[in-house]
Amino acid sequence: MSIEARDAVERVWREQGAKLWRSLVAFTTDPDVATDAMAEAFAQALGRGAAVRDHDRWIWRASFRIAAGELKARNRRSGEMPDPSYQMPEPVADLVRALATLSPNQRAAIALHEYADLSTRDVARILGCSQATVRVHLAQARKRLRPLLEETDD
Amino acid sequence: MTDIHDRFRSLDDLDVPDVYARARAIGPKEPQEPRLSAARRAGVILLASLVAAAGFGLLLRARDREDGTPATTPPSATPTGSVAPAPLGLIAFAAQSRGSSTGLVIAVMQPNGTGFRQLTGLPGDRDADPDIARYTFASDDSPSFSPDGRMIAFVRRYTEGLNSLCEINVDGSNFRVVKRDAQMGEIAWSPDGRTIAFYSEQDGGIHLIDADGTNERALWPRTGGPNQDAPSWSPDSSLVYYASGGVWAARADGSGSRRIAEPPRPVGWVALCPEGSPIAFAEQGSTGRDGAIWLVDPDGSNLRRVTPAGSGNWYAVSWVPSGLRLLLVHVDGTAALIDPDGTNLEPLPMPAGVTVAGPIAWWATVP
Repeated sequence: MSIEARDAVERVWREQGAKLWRSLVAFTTDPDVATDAMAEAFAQALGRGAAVRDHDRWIWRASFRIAAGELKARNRRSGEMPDPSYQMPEPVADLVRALATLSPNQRAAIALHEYADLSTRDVARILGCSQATVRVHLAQARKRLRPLLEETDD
Repeated sequence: MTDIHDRFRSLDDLDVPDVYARARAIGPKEPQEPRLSAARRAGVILLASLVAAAGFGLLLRARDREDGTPATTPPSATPTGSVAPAPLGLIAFAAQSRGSSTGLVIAVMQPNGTGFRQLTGLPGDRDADPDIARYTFASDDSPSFSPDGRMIAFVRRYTEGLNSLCEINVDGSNFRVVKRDAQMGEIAWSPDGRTIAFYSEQDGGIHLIDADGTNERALWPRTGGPNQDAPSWSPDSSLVYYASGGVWAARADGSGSRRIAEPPRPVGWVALCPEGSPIAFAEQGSTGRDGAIWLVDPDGSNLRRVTPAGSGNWYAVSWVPSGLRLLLVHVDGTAALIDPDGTNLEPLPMPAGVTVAGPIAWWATVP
């Protein structure tokens, strides 16, 4: 692969790696799944090299798609989400337990919008849906999260 | 009051592992996106289709029992090609039943909230979609009326990330796919009926396509900067207005691109008044700050806010056909009407349990 393409992938890691990984944790509610999906996406980005035009968007999109695939596969295997929140400090654990009650689409939308600070347009580009769909997911997610998070307010 | 955004900041407490080192250890890989097997996907599609159709149908029947309006009937599978539009006008929007996890569907109703009718997401249009057996339905959205009000163009999206430009008659008949793998965001049908402008996922710019799905071209080559989105036509179909950070316009042949307004916050949706002036636009809300609706004249002057502070988080805007009022959509899925001077804000009547996503299209014959 070209040096420019490798530099572009490294730049995404350096500038956005932490935000992407934590967004994936919010989406998957599992740091291990977040790590696996993100590593796979970066490895694929390195493999594609210069064929990727917009590395930022491609890596975010690939990470979420791979993570979504793993969640589906795990759901087929076990039928339920594990609860890895015990490994996390409070109040992250509270947040993750509340997020686990949402649908995957709702979790992806609200993680990208509320944590990664992406506009609904950018969220739509990453999730491969329309802005309108993102708005619906966000509204439903907020409605469900608000009472759950209020219960854990001090 | 819990601030959800603040609660998400707690994620900053998590230590981030060296994922990049792990990616390098895996080594460069060819892309392998996880997918269901063909047989399983076909089963899921069939089941999802049945559940979606049944779920929304049950919702509508329940609503009909409540308010006494006629039950919604599935669309005819027989193409008619000539459907008289409702004399008082119709509004079309992407609808979702409250609490449903199924995707958006296209629905129409009278502007007074009566005659609600689900047009898509039903067996008739799904059977006529050649891709529904290959991909998983995600949503139908971005409806735009043909100039004669007889048809609605919209975008059908699949969870695999593909989408198609589709059309359907306003009575729910004659669904057809105009362009497969269209890579479209929001669309707008030109007033002369010849062209559809749309956000293109290919390059993040505005593209144009003939109404028959051929002759796609970029409005003007985008080489950088913010995405171009939310196109809106001038009444004579000569100009396309769009959002690209601020409010922009270009002639339909791509020449004369110019920035009209650069408000402090990014613009989400643009809608030109059917009279040709002013331009309404929605600024994107940000954390802790509601999105507001603004007006600006086509020469960039007379910028003024429409929605009062504290009136809500409005993210989409369109005009009533007379150009005398604005239609707003709130982030909670409700819609409202407001006068351009910011007075007379009132809810748009909606069937119980139905929410709106994206801007509302309103067609009517204007005397």
